[in-house]
Amino acid sequence: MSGILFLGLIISSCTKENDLEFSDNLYQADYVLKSRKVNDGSLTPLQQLGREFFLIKFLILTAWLVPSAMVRR
Amino acid sequence: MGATPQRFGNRKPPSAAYATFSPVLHLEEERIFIGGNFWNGRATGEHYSSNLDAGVLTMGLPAAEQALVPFLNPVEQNNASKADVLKQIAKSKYAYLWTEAWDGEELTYDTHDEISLNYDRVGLAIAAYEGSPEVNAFSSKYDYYLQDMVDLTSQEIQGLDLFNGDAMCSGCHISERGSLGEPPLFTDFTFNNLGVPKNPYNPFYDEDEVFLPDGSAINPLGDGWIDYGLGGFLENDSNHPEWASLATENMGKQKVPTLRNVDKRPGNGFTKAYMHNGVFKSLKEVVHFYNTRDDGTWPVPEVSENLNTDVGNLGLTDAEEDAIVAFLKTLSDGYVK
Repeated sequence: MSGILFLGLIISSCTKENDLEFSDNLYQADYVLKSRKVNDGSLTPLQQLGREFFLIKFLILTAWLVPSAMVRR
Repeated sequence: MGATPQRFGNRKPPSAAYATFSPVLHLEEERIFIGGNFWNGRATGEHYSSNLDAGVLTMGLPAAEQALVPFLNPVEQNNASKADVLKQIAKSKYAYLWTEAWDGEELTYDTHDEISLNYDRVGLAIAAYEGSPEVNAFSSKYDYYLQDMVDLTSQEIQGLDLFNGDAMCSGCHISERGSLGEPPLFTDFTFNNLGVPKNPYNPFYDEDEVFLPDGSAINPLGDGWIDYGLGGFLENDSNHPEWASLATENMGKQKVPTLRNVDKRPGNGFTKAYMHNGVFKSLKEVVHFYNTRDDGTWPVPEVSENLNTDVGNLGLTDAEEDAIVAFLKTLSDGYVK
C-alpha cells in the first residue's frame, strides 16, 4: 500500500498547470487506501466487492501515468 | 490516460462521487434531457433497466453502466473482453467477496449468458460502492451548516448569496434541500453549453498518430476534433433514433456536474482541472470565466451553438468572485472543525 501511496505522490507532483487532471477520483482512492485496514462493517459484501473493483480499476489506470506524463508535450 | 502508454481519452474524467444519484437519461417536457452518466450522458442506464436478471435491480442505473466502460475501452484499461475481466476477478484475492455478494453463487464465465450476467454484476457492485456513504459522505462544512451545526464565515455567506442570486449558479447547481429534506446534490442533471474554449493541452489532439491494432488512429481528426457533448451522442444513439432530430439543439452541451468536492484534492499543491476538457485549473478561473465570458478576452467556445446566455456577463467584482470560491470550498466532504 505504501508503494501505491508513493505513486500517488509522484503523480500529484507531475500534475502541473498544463496537464489535464487524470482523475477527479484520486482523493477517493487515496481515502480508501488510507482507511482500508479499518473494517467497521458499514459496507455490504456487494459494496466491499465494488470497492475492490473501484480500486483496481483506478490503480491500473494510474499505473502508467508517470511515464506517459513525462513524454507528453 | 490509459493502461497502454500514449493512449489518452478525450475528456477529463467525471467524479464518481454522487454519480449514483443521476437518473436514467430521459427527455422531459420542453425538450430538456436529464440524467445519464459521462459528460455526454451516454451511460444512459437503460441497459440495466431492461436487464433485471442482473440482480436486485428495480431501476436503471447509469453509474453501473458507466463503471463498465473503462475495462474494455482501448484508451483506458484495454482489456480484451468481458470474459477476460471476469477471469482476472476469479483469480483475485478478493474473489471470495463475489460469492458473499451474490448469495453463494460462484463466478462463472463459460457461456455467453454467464458472461453477460456476471459482467453486469461487476458494474452493479461498483455502483453499489459508489452509492455507499464511504463515497457519498454528505459531510461537508455546508452540510453541517444546513444542520445548524457550524457557521459559515461572512465571506462564505456572501458567496452563498451570490451563488443563489446574482451569479445564478444554483439555477443548475441546486443548493437547497429537496422536498423531502434530502441534502442538495448541486446538480440538476441537465446539460449545458457554457462556451468553454478548447483545451489546447488536451493530449487527445495528438492521438491522430497513435494507432489501435487494427491500424485505425485513436483520433483521426487530430487537432480538428470537436467535443459536441450530448448532441454528438444523440446524433448516433442507435437505441433512440427518435432523439437524432434533437441532436442539433444539444450540440456542445455537457452534463452539469455536482459541485460537491469541487475543491477536494488528495493533497496540498495538487492541481485540479475543471470543465469537460480540463481547460481551467482553478475555481477562481472558472468563476471568472462565468463572470466575463462575453467580454472578448477569452478564446472562442469549442462549440458556439446553443450557448447558455444566462452567464457570461455577470458583473461581479473581484471580491465577489473570491466569495463564491470561498463558498465552493465549503462543499468538500470530511469537514472537521
